[in-house]
Amino acid sequence: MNKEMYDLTAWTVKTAKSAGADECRAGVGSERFVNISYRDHKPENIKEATTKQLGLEVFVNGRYSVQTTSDLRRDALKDFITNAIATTKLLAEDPFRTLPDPKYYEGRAKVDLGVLDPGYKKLTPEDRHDLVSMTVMMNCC
Amino acid sequence: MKEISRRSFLKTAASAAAVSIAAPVVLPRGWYTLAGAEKPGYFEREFGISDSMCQKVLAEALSKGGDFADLYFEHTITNSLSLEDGKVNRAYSDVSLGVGIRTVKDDQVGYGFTQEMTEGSMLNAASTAATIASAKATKAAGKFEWLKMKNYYPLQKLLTSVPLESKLPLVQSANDKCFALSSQVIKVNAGFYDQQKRILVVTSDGVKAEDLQPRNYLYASVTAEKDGRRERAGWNIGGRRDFSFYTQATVDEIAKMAVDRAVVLFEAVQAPAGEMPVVLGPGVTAVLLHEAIGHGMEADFNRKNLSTYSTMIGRQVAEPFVTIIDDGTMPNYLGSINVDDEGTPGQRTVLVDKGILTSYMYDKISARFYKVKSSGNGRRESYQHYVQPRMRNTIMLAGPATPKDVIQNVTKGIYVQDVSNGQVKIGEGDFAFFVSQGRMIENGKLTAPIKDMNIMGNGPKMLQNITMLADDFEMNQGGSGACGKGGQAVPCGFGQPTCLVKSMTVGGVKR
Repeated sequence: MNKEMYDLTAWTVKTAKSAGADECRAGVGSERFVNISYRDHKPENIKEATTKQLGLEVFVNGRYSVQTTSDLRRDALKDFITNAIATTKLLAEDPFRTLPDPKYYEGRAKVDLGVLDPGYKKLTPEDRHDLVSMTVMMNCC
Repeated sequence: MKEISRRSFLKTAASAAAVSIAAPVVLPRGWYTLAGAEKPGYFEREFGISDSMCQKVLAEALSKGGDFADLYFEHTITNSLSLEDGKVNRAYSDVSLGVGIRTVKDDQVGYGFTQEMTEGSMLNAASTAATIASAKATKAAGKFEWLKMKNYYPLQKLLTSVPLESKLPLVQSANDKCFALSSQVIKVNAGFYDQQKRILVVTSDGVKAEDLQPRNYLYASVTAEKDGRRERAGWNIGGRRDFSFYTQATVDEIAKMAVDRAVVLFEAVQAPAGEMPVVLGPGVTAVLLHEAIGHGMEADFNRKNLSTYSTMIGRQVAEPFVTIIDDGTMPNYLGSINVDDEGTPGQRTVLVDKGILTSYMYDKISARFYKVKSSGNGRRESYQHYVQPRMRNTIMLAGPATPKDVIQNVTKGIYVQDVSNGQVKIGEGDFAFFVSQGRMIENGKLTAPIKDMNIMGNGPKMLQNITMLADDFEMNQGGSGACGKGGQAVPCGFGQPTCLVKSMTVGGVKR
């Protein structure tokens, strides 16, 4: 697990609790996406995306809400958390919604299923262009 | 030709409202425009985005010979609050921060975006975007100049500084008012949505532009019941508004429209089927103008020969009393923009002048193709998306007739007050829309309300078949509408007067 992301989620949970949350759950996700498309044998669109977002679920006085942000500066996150808790307090009570009992996820396997192909990391933009060019060649006369 | 099917004005919780077009905004004493009150440089102050950093990233984006490149920084805060039957059942906030980096070579686009506002992450995205070209590096501008622009949506204060406690009474009032208006109302959903989007566009030709684009609306959606039958309707009002826009009068109007429109459906009959004259009411029915006609005038569909209008510039496409404009400068309307998303100032573009097609809507890429200036229609949903030519506020100007004259000209036909779900083939302009509110026209008079029917036709033919326009122009006043194209939703406005289309296919019942 990425240590920086782990530290951020741990800090978020701690900050939310000290700001008034009874319980909370935070998650940070990071994703990379690449798309290359050709039209008339020429590249028309190339898109690369790096996303990094934080999702926060808070439980306050029997109320629950979910908020998201990609502004991960700590100062901005503090305001975001304060606002999330104030917002949650306005909501109607939902007493049946809580975090799951830890007994349901204790002892989970920590096995890496190996679904991530490390080869993707080695692909350069030029490699991707070559792949698409070859596909175009194979499908055109 | 490949069919491009699409849902129009998706994501709307309630129908859009329509009121008379507003005069340009005159600010009360003591008001100021935030753009004028704040010094430019928000992204530098908050995120350390300096000119030298932008120069480096643009140089990387042009490192393989792109024609031009731009950076689009965005920081958007969205809040929504909704009530169901008087209880706050949903409250949500989202903060979206990121930068999109675009390299253009001829009409091809290399695009990268990142949510990490670090120089390293931006350079990575720029180096991928750069590979749209494969030649020697192109030079970017050595310095940037702030773009001079007007403000079409001045604010007294930021919506993000308005506490939830101030928004909640509006929503509660809308909820209570709906229940109070009719004993047939059995369920109400009401809510307030606000978004504050800050953008910074920096281009390789030396332009730098910053904008603060608010978007907000108040809505109510009701379910009514009578004799075991249920009907639903909704209404919303909003746009690029200051919070002071939302008063008790706004609440009352939303509640009345939502309730009246639901309750009237109990009296509705099914419309007859077949070809017949159709009168489109003023305001919100201009969604047809947007969908079935406007999209065909976006320059990308013409550049790629996908639109019926691709060979029609300078030719007659409608009767001489028809003028269509795409206007980004209408104060506080949903489609208004001070600057587009590639650094061109907001402006007004005449598309059809007295029946003659005079212009398409251009972004920079299509403007280069047609050797004209961009019309300021380069827009995108967010930093995660590249620019496309998109509409702003698309309107058809008023004509000489009165609404009464228009209706009196129809012996047997239908009057359309509002349409909802629809589908359009953008190339040919073929469309089908569901009529959510309307009336029969019999012997020149409005009679029974109608429901459960579609109108079908072809946009360019419909434009040719407009035989009368009334003098009652109305602008859609809703704030929830977002137009979808190429997987991107952007806020757009629209408006028109009462309009007679001499023939359209109505999918009702055979009598």
